[in-house]
Formats: sequence, C-alpha cells, structure tokens
Amino acid sequence: MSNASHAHDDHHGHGGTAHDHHGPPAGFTRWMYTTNHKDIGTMYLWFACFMFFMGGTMALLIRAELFQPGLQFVDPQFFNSLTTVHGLVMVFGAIMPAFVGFANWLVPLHIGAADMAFPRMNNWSFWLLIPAALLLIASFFVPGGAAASGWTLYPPLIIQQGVAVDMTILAIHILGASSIMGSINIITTILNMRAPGMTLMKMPLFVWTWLITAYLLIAVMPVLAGAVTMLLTDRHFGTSFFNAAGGGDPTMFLHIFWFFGHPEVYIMILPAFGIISQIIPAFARKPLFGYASMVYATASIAILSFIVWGHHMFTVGMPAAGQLFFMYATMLIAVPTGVKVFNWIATMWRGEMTFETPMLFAVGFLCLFTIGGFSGLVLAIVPVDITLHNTYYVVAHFHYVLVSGALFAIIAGVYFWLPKWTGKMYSESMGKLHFWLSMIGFNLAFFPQHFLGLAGMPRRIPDYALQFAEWNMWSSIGAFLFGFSQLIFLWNVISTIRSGRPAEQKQWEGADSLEWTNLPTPMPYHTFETAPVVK
Amino acid sequence: MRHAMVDKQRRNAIVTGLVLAAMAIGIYLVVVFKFFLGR
Repeated sequence: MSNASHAHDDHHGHGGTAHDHHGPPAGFTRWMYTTNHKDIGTMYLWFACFMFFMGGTMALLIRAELFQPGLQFVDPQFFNSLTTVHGLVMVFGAIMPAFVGFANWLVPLHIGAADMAFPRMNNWSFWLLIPAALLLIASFFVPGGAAASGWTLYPPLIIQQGVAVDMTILAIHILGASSIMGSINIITTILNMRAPGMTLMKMPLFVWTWLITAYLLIAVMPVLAGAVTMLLTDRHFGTSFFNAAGGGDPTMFLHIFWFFGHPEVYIMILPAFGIISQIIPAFARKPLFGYASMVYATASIAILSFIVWGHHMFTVGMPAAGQLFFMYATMLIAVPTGVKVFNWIATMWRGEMTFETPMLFAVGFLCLFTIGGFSGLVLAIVPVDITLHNTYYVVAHFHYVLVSGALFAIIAGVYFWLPKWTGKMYSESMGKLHFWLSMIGFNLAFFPQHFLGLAGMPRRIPDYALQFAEWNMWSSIGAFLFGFSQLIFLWNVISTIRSGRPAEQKQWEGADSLEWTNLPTPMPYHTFETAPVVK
Repeated sequence: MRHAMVDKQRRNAIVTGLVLAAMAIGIYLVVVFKFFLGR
C-alpha cells in the first residue's frame, strides 16, 4: 500500500507540473507499471476481450466442423483440443478476468475508496495473466497438439498426453495465483477501505457479490491447484494419485475437480448478479427490491455451492444416498436463485422503465439465465441426468448460464459504465442492433442443442449420426451469427473511445451509486483522494 | 492518493491480506499433503 504512495511521489518528483499528478504517465510504462485501479481494470477488460475472441474463434471452428455430419475441416484430435482450450480460455481467460476488470474499476468507486488496498499486487495479478495465456495458446503448436481431454482434464486420458498438458497445468497454476491475489485485494479493500458511513448493508450489491465471490475463489482455487499438482506428479514423478495402474483412483480426481468446479460456476455468475442488480434499478427508476434478501441469497448460493459437486458425476457409480443428497442439495439452490429473479422482476414492477442497451441485455439475461437455471434443475434429477449426461443437453444448459448469463451481464455492464469510464457515449442504435442479433444468434445456436441432447447426441465429438444433421446446421448458423455480431460490440466500444459524443455526469437517470452521484464525467485519474461521507 | 489511508487502516489491511493468503496456502497444502500422506 505504501508502495503506491512512493510511486505517486516519484512521479510527482520527476519534474512534472503541479497539475501532472492528476493524469497518467505517457506511453507503455503507464500500463506496465501502473498501480491505478482504473488502468488495471481497463487492462483486465481488454485482455478478457482478446481472449473472448480467441475462444470464440475456436468455437466457430467447432461449429464449422459440426455444420454437417462427416469430417470436413479438422481431424478428431484437433477437434478435441479445440473443445478443451475453448473451455479453458473462456472460463479462465475471458469470463473471470472480465469480472475482475469490473471489480477493479468499480469496487473502489462504489465504496468511496481511493484505490485497491494492495495496488502493486494488483498490477502483478494482471501481468501474470499474460504468460498463462501464452502458455495455453502456444500449447496448440507443440508436438501432439493442445490438451484434448476437455476443460475438466480428467485422468487417465490427461496423464497420457504430451507436453501441452504440462503447459496447461502451469497455466492453471499461474491463473490460480493471479485469481487468489486479486481476491485478497478485493476482500481487503472492501473490509478496510469503505468511506465513512458506507456500512456493509449500504454497499451496492455489485460489491456484495464480489465480496462473496472473492471468498469462494480463495477457498477453491487452491483445491484446483492441488488437483493439477497431483496430475503433474502422476505424469512425471512416479506418483499414482489418479492412475489405476499404480493403485490410484481416477474418480478421486473428479471429486477434487468438481469440489472446485461447482463453486467456480458461481464465481462466474455471482458478479453477473451484481451487475444486473445495479442496472435493473437504474432503468426501472426504483430502488432494488429486497436488498437484504439479495445479500442473504447471494451468501446462501455461495455456501450451497460447496455441497453439490456430486451432481457432475452421478454416472461414476455413487451410492443412492449420495445421489439423493446431491440431487436435493442442488435443487435447494433454486430457492435463493428464485429469490433473486423474483426481486429483479419486483424491481421492474410498476417502474418507469426505459430500454436502453444495458437494460436490454439485463432483461435478456433475466429471461435466458432463467432458462439455463431450469435446465440445471432438470439435470439435477438423478435418473434424468443419467440419461442426459455427456449429451448436448448439458452443453445447451451451461451455455445458457455462461453466455446469456455471465457474458450478457458483462456486455450489459460495459454498455452501462462505458459513458462513465470513457466520458463518452456509445451509439445506442449500434448497441440495440448488437443486442437483437446476439439474442437471435444465441438462441438459434443453443436452443436446438437441447433437442440434440434429448435425442442422444453426445458432446465432444467431431462427427455425428445423420438424424442430428438439421439441428446442428441451425446451431452452426446461429453460432456464426452470434459470433460475428460481437464485432459490432467491439466496433461500438472502439468508436466510442475514439469519437463518441460527451457523456453526462449522470448518464442514467436512475443510477445512484457513488461514481454517478459524486464524480464528474470523465472521471479524473485519481478519485476519492478525500473519502466521501455517505449518509 | 494514499493519504486517505490512515495507519490503522493500513495495519488492518495488511493483517487481512496475510490471513487470506494463509487461508489459500493452507487449503492448497491440506489438499496435496492429505493425499500424499494417504497414499
């Protein structure tokens, strides 16, 4: 913390005018050495954007191959690598860093703090992402190709593959370290640096969701790190944790992985809930309905996420009592999630609503995430899951949660805060075009996958039986429409930064958090040097 | 920028950060060594 003060003083001492300390240094060193939460947030968001287009390109290669039955473009091994790295890149490279970018930008602004608690560690958290991303992407170019086990890295297959797996394991370790440092920073900032009067129960809900998410990350990222360390020692140091040939148990990996993996799902959706909880009240021009119940529901979801991991592995052979426990525990999560959906709808009820782009994406989120939640409930039922396990129904389910859930919330958040971040207003007509093409493309891509899964089409295959051809064709058309419509988003953001018209201090009439009420637009480089008093 | 952080805040922040880091490292060691010693 004191380091930031030194960096600040150093800059001041380099012969700048008295006014200089309000602006950033020029050139690449600004980004390399920055300890400013806004700069670091911006870098996280651009990194996530880059990785999103990388992962998206892989997705389109997958959908191009699946456009027709038979093998068209890629060989099966490469296809499996594509599904694996697409998953890893989207989870660890796109969705999670995007939310950390939002946290960096917004947590200090929302609680009236000058910056994050540990600004240099914040810089390090970001720059660790670059070698990890390079390792993941470079793994395509080593002998044997990238890891091809699926993002879940199940043994024994993963133990048998080439050096790319070691690169993936190292990348996951680095990404985990980055996430843990980011989480320590976020929790410490929220607990120690709130402005006078900003009690916990006055914090914007986005801050609450990130506080809970950061605890989840600290609890489960080390578990993933432990699991992949054991994979590494199984591969190279003669251990047999997961290798049946040496007395190990591959099923044990599934338990450890999913003990991480299910809370990870909520790590990717709770901050989305936070963003939506900021946007809907702003455009309904009403306070959020049931604020306290939203906080408790978020905490309940986080706690329950630790006791449901078994629903990912009903088919491995589990006692009936275990299956029943995980089934009922999973269904229980629908209660706090339902509270949230109810509260968002009640917030809109009799509100004076307008539908600018952020609100369109928020309402899109609400409708489509709920579909993903319901298909999750379907999969929680043991006998149904045993039939649908490893089919396209599962693929449809988690894309409704992660694309129309997490990604739509990220896009909504970017449109919502872009005027504040850049001081300029985006093109509303381009934003609306982006929304409608995304809605149509997304549903066309993923809704038919429910039908394919119910008809028995397995996931992670480059070829399929003829009866699946028609829905696969529609799914691929939808995927390409969705993918290319994201270029409109990219263009809208870039043209806003370059030549958008000036935004107002309070661009959205109903927005009431500190960055809208207490700070000018565009924001100065340093904000809340003197903490505001919150009444 | 940092002037807003008083000494007590700074001390509390460092303690919070260290406790959280110890939690993360502790969980990692428990996962690895539980299985290491168990096999």
